Amino acid sequence: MVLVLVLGDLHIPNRVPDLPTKFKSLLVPGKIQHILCTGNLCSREVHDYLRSIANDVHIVRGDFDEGTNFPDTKTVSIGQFKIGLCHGHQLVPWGDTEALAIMQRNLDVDILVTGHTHKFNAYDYEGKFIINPGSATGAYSPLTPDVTPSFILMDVQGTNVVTYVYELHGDDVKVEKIEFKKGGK
Amino acid sequence: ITDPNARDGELDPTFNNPLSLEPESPWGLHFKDEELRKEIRQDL
Repeated sequence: MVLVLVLGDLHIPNRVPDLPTKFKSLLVPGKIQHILCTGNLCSREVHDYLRSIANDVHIVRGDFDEGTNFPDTKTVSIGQFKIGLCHGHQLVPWGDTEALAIMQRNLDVDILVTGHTHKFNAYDYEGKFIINPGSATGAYSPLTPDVTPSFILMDVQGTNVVTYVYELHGDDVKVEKIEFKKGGK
Repeated sequence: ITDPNARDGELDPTFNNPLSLEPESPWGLHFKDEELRKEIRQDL
């Protein structure tokens, strides 16, 4: 099993001071192999923090990641899955299913990861897995002032991905599980 | 050796997930075993 942490839209320190303490206590080094970050970190410290959790960190550039040289899109192969990563502010309209499907086909990936909407989402679209980890800090977005902090952990095993969704409700971390099989159901 | 996915479907993922802090959850036991294995490899 390979554990992949997927998170983004942290907006530290512009919109929130730090990651929720409850999340920080869960994200210990030694468990996670890869990190996929959808961008908007928005500081060097967050980058260093992510590198302290796992060795292999992939980041794409968000619209607030100034002075960085993160790419706009990136593809990463983990196990038998090709995963595409993009912040998502480039898409019109934001978070639109059709726009995401076009990007998924252009990048030719099994799993497409985008952010920007600060809203968790994960669904099977024509046999491809489209996911959005939401905002790990619950930072506000122009679309919604009330954001539930969330991130995703994927357990990649062969042609299966077990996705764990971590959401912070008040003081409690709620976890949900979604399974995806390569090529769809 | 604990397989964290063996008893799948029976347990609430809030209790049993890879980042779970519950030492008695299958994932908790898995990482405890993992640490022990690492130590054994180091000692060999």
